[in-house]
Amino acid sequence: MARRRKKKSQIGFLRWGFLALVLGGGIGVYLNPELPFIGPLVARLNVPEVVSPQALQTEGEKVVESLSAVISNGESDDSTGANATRGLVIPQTSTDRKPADRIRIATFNIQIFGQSKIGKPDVVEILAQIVRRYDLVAIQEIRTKKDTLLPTFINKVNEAGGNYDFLIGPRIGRTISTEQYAYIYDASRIEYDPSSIGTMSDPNDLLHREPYVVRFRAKTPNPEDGFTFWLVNIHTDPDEVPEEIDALADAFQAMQTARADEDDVILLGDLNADEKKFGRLGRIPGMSWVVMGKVMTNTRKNHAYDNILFERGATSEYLGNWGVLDMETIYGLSREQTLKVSDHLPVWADFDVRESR
Amino acid sequence: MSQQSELRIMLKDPQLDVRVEAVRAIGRLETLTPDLVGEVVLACAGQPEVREEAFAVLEDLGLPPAESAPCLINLLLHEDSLVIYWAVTLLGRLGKKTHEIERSIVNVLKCSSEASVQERALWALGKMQPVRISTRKIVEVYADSVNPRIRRFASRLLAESST
Repeated sequence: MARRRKKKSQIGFLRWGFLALVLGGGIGVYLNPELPFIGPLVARLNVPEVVSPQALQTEGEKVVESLSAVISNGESDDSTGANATRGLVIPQTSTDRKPADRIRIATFNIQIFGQSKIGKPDVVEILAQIVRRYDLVAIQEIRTKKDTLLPTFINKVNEAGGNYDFLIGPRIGRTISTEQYAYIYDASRIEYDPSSIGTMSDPNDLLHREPYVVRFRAKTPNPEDGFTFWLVNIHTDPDEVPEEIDALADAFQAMQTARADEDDVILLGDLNADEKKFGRLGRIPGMSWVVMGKVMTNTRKNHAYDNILFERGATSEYLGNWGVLDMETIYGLSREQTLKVSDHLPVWADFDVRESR
Repeated sequence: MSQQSELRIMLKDPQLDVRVEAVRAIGRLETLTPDLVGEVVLACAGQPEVREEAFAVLEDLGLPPAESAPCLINLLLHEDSLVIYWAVTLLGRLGKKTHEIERSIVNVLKCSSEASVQERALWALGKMQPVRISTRKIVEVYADSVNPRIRRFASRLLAESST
């Protein structure tokens, strides 16, 4: 939504990418997008372990070509959705392509996504089909010591002719057992600001796994029109949920002021808490979330741990459509088979491809 | 033989894949017996592939069966800090059941050199209010720690136990 302080930068994402490519690390400080944050949390930049070359692609024609590939991949989008106003589980309308006027953002905890899971072709096939449903997926719980996991998985996702790419965060955790966050995105529809990638700093050590933040933009024929937004990817520690959720309130508000020209902040992930436990985060004026009421987000359908939150006043690009992908129903899996994919279900929401002015 | 008994045997299989699959299968069970809870905690001392699965199972386990407390107390004496970390965590989830649990966790707090274990020990003691006066005195030392988490947990415990 247009705010007085929200003037989209005259230097677009593509130009940032170009400058970074040409000038290398020396320009890094100059391009640092005002990342020191207020509150107990501040952000630090970290170099992604795998830098996506596709993020730097620039030509509008390429966007059109890639879009064609996505449109023709024949993916059904018949997921179990939920009415945002009533919280009821209702079937979504089937479509065979991604609409050009909206982007679908999802969050998915792929429970222990590591070497064991990537070695199971049937599971990987389901995961790839799930990712193809969305334009951008925030992933939690990548657990592997190898750097080949996501490249391997992306190859599988793109076997159907897509143009997906990924960003992955550092390994984080309190013990030697660590996790990584990631974003998987359809590079024909979404781009990111290479200077915006970071893991939030947590000097008071409030969070087990600090959020992984990246600023994205929906690709539009005129880049200045595209919806830009921060994604804040989180997986809380189930043993310290109240404290961590409160810390996320600070993190969210810090991100809202991280850049003078950006007030769209979308916090998403596995919060290990339903809406009744959102505490200070839920009390931020105007804060909205998509999963509510009796809708459950885990495979056993007895918890609503995953969600997508944003300030409704600022993020008026939200179109009111959201859903929880019922993997059992959509892919005809037994409960046992579904649990081999994950104990969480993907949660998604639709946003306008254009920035509200 | 019950499924849980079979899984316990699989956890000791020489093949890594079998052990990994055993932990994963345990994670898919609706409820765990106390023995099996202990076995999963012990799996944290295993090879990384097994350990990662065990971590995820324990993180999502929720409240362990109350009968698992004696087994978990024994695991506090294990040499592997990850085993101790998870035994403390599960005992903390159980809350205060006996003075023995509180005493055992205080011992962990005093003896462990791992910050993550000390943090969890203080966190667990915080779930066992009111703690004994002798526990309070030991915790007071940690209220001035340079580690913000240790300091925070210790201070909170002291504040809550004084009210």
